[in-house]
Amino acid sequence: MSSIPTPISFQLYDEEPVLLPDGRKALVLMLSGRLDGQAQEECDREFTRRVAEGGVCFILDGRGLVFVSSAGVRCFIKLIKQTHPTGGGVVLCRPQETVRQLLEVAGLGDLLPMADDLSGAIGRF
Amino acid sequence: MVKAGLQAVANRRFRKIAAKLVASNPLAAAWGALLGAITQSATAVAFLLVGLLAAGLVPLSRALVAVSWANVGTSALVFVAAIDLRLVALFLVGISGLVLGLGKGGRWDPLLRAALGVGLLFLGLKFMKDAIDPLTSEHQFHTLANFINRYLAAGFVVGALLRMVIQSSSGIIIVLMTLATQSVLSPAQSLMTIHGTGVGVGLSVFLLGSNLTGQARQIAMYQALINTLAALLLAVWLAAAQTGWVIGLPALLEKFTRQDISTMLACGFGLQMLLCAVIGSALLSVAPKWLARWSPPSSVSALTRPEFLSENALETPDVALVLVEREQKRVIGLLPLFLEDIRADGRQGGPAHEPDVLRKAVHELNGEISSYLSDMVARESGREDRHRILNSTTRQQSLDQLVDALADFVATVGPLRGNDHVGALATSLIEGLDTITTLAAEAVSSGDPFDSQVLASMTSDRSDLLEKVRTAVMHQPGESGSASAQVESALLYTLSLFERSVWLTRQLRI
Repeated sequence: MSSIPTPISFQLYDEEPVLLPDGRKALVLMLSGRLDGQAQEECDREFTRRVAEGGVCFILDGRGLVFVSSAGVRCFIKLIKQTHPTGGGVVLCRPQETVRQLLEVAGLGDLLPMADDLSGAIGRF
Repeated sequence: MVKAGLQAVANRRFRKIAAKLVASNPLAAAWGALLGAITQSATAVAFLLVGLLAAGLVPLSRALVAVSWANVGTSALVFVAAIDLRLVALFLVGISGLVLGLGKGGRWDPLLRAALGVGLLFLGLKFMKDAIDPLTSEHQFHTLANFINRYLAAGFVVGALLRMVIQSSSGIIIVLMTLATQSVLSPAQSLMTIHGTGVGVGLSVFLLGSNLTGQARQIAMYQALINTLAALLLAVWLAAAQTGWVIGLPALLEKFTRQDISTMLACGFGLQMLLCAVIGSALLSVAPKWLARWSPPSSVSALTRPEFLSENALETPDVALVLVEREQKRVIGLLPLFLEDIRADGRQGGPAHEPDVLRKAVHELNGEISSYLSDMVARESGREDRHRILNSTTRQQSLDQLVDALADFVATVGPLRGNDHVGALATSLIEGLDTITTLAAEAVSSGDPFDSQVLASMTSDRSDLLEKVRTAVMHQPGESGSASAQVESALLYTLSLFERSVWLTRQLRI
């Protein structure tokens, strides 16, 4: 896999969806940069669009995510809330150590499972 | 000291009674004058009113009426000083002191103590007047008095300066009575000095009130304005009378008081205070708007006022409980403000406040809610209502403790953010706690069960995780020596405050 650039500004890329064990498809979204108050609106918009297009299960690839503020965490919570009624879910894959620590400290460990790689993320659904 | 003392006394019950006393403008004027006469300080009355204003028990215009008439009340002592009450004072002090000293007062004790206080006050006035006597024979004093007598404006300036230093117009006037009686100062010059004290009130209130904010500052500015205007009007009249074009106040007062100097000066001061009240009444329709423009209420002072609690609702426990819950939800909505200044996205679209200022404001609001709940407990209510009152009281206690925990957390974690070794962890703690408090505020606002579920999950026990973090902190390599020990200690304390804040949020049972 080519190295992922980590610009400071937030960016979101679509990657190839993956097949889950139960036959559903999970959308894989690559996040990079800083997910803070300035990026919150854009991130919310992108998440909402994908849910509206039928997305139910999401794997967020956090390799390039260097920082998440409380605003960013609320984006994740909002996505979890949007997928909850349809029985879907969200898994965070390959988070950087600081992001993992923040999410664990914030108590999001149960609602937003984390995995060290893509296959681990698929197994969390 | 006066403000702190009055605030200590001014609990909710006292404020409710005080609010009824100023239920209309005439009542406010009457009670303002009485309180001014008793306390001899319009400033003390103003501070009492600030408490009523902060609790939303009186409108600003009513408070302004009370303050303007408190000035009239303060002139009472000056009239007393004009009368020779030496014999009365000696009898009061002698009899009441003797009875109290022998312990024979019984149920008359409070009255006897009041009589003793009044007697001592009268004696004190006499001593003050007597103390001035020797001064009048001093050469330097005569030089100063001659200078003042020569230039009318000098008396005005001296009066203003003296009032700024001595902070008691009554005290200055009592001294002037002695000087005027002994013809050291002319009646006109004595009156001009009295007028100068009005401007002195304005200047000292303006200077001393510079650190006040919101409605306290508005009342201080109003007091400065009416005293200055009254003083300037009378000073201009007196100056015009010196030219002979108009009859001056000294001439009018001489006729009225049959040339008794002390009574003349007392009447002059009383008239000046009455003019303050008249000017205050004339400005009442526009004063609140002007004052709001000059000194807008701070957003923090608006926080201290309950928005939903109603005295009438206490008759119906169901309704009262709903109002309490709404007020508590409002407090929960304020919790994210504590972290506004230190979080990564802070100050974006919202006001930032000093945590200690916020803590004080929210504690005041919490105090109102607790007091309201106490009133509910004191009334008769059914079993279910008592259960709900208990739950609300428990939640209120958690809220109060949470406010302290958040303010302390901000104070300790702030300096750690820039540290190379623990900065990242400090930032995680800040963002994590901000997420939790913001979610709590959103959950009470939305009433969405899913928000409550998420909050419950986020505030669940994670002592194992935090214990691992603590262990990592204590064993990590970093700075050497006392700096490392200090940082480590601060971080451990911060972690405990974080854990406590999370636990208390869970106790709110949103």
